[in-house]
Amino acid sequence: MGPTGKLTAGALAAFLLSAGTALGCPFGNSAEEIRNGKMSLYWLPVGEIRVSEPFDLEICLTVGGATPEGGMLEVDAVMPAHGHGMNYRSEVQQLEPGHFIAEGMLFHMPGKWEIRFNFVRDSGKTTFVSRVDLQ
Amino acid sequence: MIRAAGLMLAALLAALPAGAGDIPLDRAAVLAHGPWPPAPRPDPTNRVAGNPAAIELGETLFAEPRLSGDGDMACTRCHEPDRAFTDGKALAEGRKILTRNTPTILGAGLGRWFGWGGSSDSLWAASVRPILDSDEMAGSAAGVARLLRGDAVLRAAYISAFGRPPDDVAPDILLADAGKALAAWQARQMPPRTAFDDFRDALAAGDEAGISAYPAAARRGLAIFTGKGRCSFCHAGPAFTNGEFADAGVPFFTADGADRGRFGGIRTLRESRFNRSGAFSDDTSPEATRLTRRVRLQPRNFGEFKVPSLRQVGRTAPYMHNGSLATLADVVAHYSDLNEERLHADGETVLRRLDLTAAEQAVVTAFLETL
Repeated sequence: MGPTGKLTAGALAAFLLSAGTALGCPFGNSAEEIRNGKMSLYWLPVGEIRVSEPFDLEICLTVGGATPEGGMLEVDAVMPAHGHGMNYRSEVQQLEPGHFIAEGMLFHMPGKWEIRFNFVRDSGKTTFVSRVDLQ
Repeated sequence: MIRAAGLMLAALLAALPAGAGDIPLDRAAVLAHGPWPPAPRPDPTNRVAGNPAAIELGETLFAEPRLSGDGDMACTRCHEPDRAFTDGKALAEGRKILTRNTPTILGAGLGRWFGWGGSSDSLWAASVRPILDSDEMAGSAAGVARLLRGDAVLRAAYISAFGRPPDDVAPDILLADAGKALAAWQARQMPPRTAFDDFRDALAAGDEAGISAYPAAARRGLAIFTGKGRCSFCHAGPAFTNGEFADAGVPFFTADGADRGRFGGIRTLRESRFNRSGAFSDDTSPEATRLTRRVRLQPRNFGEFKVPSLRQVGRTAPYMHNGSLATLADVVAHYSDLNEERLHADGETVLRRLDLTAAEQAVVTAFLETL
């Protein structure tokens, strides 16, 4: 299928802040930043997000501006208004401490999606949510 | 302030001017259904995809009844070329009456899942499946091997396509190769451009004469399709399908029990030795197999069926996975009067009863006929 849509707006959640670059994160200003307490998560798609086409996300995490030690990241997405999630499981690989890639994301409908990032450590789980409107 | 004014102007421009009685069109939503035709979707698991000799062999094999166990049933028995590669019947007829409607192969090369339940993850595997199915062609790897080795014309065509004589190639591999040649040809069978594509392209170019040439009824139907009908959520993109599966409120019971739809399709896919991760695939790299490995099996998949492309839909009656709706008007009426209690409790909430008037149903049907 050819290009059917693109990411037209991100960061609609109230807690989603302006784009930026974190210390230790290799992203430019195009990355979206989500904060939860002292933690910041930055993400950006690899290429363009299109309806019903697989895509990957590059993700970076910091704690108080520093790279976190240990931990596992899970990435999933849902369409809250439609009552469904993705038909595929993403696979998250750690490229280096605090730097991840989530492969195999696929938004199979246009509309409002919610990407959920769970960073799991011995001390507990920290959740970050970002909303995208895919046309 | 300037930015806000700009956004308001952009929003106004996004809705196309409408004539008297017309419903405004969402320009972006319409443009998302093109351009047509799209670039071919590459299939790295089929090394002869796009190979002219394989395409020629595939065309021959598609009409070859000796692929079947009794030498009497070709692919064309159900996929009739002059019926847009369907058979006009509610349920396909193989060795017995089957449980599903024959889908067209037009545009099949653009898909990633094949069959109403998506039990195949490549067009070549989907081509092997009916050859082996005892209720369909009831063929065998040994039979295909005998054919490719023993028929002088097919033997020469095989050598031309695959660069080796079939004599020392194992029957299972020859069967997969036959599927790959069939897929190479089927991938070239694309739905033609239509009046809708001319309209869509005229819209993109701002060509007023081209925009005006599109029938008013179809335009009103398109506005409902992309608007309150919410059809574009699933029938998305240039092929008018998102390539996935949905519960459309059509009963999944059969004469013998229930059709498990996508739920059964995923299970069959995982067990198939002809899937993209298997020994017959020409590319088992993580990239080529990632959707197969990562597809989720979910309770809501039970009773979900493939969202079909709507290209050439006016030529592929009857409709739905079980052929239970005879005409396009019946399909539109089905969604208009949708029985929401039939939808899976864990399923999507996209579908809802539309309560379209008779006039609205007529224009949606008129739009579909322009595809």
